[in-house]
Amino acid sequence: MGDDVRKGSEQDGFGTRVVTEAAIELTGVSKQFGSRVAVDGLDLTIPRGSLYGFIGPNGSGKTTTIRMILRVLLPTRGHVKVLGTDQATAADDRTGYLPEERGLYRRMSVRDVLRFFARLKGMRQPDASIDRWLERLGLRDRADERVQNLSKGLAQKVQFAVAVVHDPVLVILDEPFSGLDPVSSDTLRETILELKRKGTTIVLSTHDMGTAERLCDSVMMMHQGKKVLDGSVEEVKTKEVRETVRVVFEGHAPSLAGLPQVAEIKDYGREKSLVLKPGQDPQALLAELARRGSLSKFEVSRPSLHEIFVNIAGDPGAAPVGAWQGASDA
Amino acid sequence: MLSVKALIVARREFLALVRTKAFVIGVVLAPALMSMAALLVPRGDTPGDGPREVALIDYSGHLATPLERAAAEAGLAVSTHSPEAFDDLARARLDGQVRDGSLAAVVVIGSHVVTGNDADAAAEVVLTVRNVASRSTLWLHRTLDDLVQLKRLEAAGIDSERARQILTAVELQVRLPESTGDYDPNVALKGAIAPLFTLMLVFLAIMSSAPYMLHSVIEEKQQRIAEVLLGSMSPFDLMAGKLLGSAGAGLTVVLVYAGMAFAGASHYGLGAVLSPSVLLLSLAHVLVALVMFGSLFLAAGAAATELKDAQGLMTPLTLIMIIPMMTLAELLGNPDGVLAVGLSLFPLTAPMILPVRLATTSVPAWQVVVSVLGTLLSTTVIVWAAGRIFRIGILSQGRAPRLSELLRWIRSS
Repeated sequence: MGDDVRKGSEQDGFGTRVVTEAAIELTGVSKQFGSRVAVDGLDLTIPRGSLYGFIGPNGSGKTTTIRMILRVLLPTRGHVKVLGTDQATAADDRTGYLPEERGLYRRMSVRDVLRFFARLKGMRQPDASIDRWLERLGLRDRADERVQNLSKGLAQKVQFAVAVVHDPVLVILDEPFSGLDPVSSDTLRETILELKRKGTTIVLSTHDMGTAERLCDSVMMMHQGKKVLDGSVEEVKTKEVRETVRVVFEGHAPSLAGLPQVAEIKDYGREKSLVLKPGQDPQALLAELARRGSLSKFEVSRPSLHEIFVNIAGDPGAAPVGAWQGASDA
Repeated sequence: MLSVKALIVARREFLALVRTKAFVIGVVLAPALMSMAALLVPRGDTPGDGPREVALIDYSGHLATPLERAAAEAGLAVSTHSPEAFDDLARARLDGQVRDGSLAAVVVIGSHVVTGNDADAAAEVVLTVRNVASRSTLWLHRTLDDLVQLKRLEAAGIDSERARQILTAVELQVRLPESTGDYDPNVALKGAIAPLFTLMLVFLAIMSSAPYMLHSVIEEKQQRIAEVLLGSMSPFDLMAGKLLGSAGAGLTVVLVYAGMAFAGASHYGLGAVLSPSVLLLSLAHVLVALVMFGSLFLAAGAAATELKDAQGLMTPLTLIMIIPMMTLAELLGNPDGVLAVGLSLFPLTAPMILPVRLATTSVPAWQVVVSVLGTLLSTTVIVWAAGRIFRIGILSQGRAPRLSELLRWIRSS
């Protein structure tokens, strides 16, 4: 990644915008628990003001990486620098964190929970900010209700408010859309984009590739503790040389066995996704498929992040870094 | 030095604890119930409730009249049966009445109880009762004992007035070597109540706050609140805040109970029993115990993932806390014995036992020094080790760690 994206800007104490370093820089970071290596030699630079996606299967090392960024865990090896400081023992009040599982006191009221965490993050008079976020997230009527009485979706909104109530510079969101209905998801997505427009750096850890693809500027995929993809969404997709053809047949789909151009077939029901072998001509495939049945859809596309994710995560022998390396490491 | 964040956590912990039903019950309802129970307990020298009639078969011919008189004063009626008519059938009928609750007791007094010699005579009073520990049984036992002794003296030629004088209980006037001036009737109470008071306060303080800490830490682990907290503050600040908050709640309990005890003692003219020095000494021991046991409970909560794991870790500690209560009679009766000395030197029991010994005996100076220094040093080490376990344990999931793992956590930098 070039210097132009490594640097961002932030207002100093005199209101002057000054050029600063990347929001997060990890250099050769590893974390070992006993004999198990959770994160292995991770290098990562996240520019200020970006919306960065962490993707990868369960147990790939995303949460451990997030915990090291938050200074909740110390790396076994390597260097972690967050918002320009590498003091390993100090939690930073300029960060906000939404964990994957709910982290709220169940017997406290919504307002009290927000007030408690806002004060922990150094806010002396948090009430105005709390009211603003309650209003923004549609929680004003629930302010005095106990957390344990809220639905999963509402509790998730409260958790999000906890992460942002102190107006952080860096927000780390681990599966923020989990448990939300479509309307609440839209509200949250808009809110995240609002934060980004204000210059907040956002790290979004998610299993939902569609969300990562739509929202994030860049993504980093982890697998078995190592980084296997890193770069802007477009760069990552461009690097995937194999083309995918999506087809839908009218009526009963014919057998697709024995297609010489196809490396892999994924059956989604009516729609089939055919991954072409390198160098194969989609037109030749079209002719072959038209011979076998009546097509109602034939669409040549780059693979989605979901397909790239499944390709890597679904392959237990997937080679890290080299084969799937994105632009930032090129 | 405690950080502002630790104080914010302490405030939350304190408020969360004092708002629990268990705390309110412990602070308000339990003392109220105890006071009511104390008021409802009848005086010790009365036969209590239950059947009011006693059947008497007096072969000696000496005891029917005095027993009837004493029973009448105590609100009991004595029905005297002729010994000649007391056959197996009559015995069975009276036993049946005791069994169905219409008679409090059947008293059979042998012919030689008063005039006979040796053990044969002593064994000649037979009491048939349904409840061997009931107040009426105890009253009969005590009254018959007094009456038989009185009648024996009269039978020996001593007139009844003189006999009563002989049998009058000795009124001991207990004083301490440092006592000056007039006799202080409260001195025995001071010797017994002051150490008990401290012991109870330490026990109450720990039991009303430390178990809550265990639950609180486990909730923070299970609900993943710990991750969010540690994203905002250091583990040391988090632990210090929790310790401070729960210690504050424990002290609240102590102050409420101490205040009530003082008010109660003053009401009965015994205010001097709980002197300011006793209160201060108790408070100091309570504080040390709260920090020491609080740290241990916090570390156990952090090391465990489930409440049952934590309870397994806490069982030895709970047993240690109960030892002074279980051995109280021995501690008070023999404050210089091996048990009392050993427990007053063992850091986990010293805050409860040293005040007991200080109030009941002259503790050698070296034992006081070893006990106090040992307790303070142990508390420091415990807080340090608990902090290390807390730092790692608060984020750990899965099965509870083995002892070897806990030691590794403590050693790790």
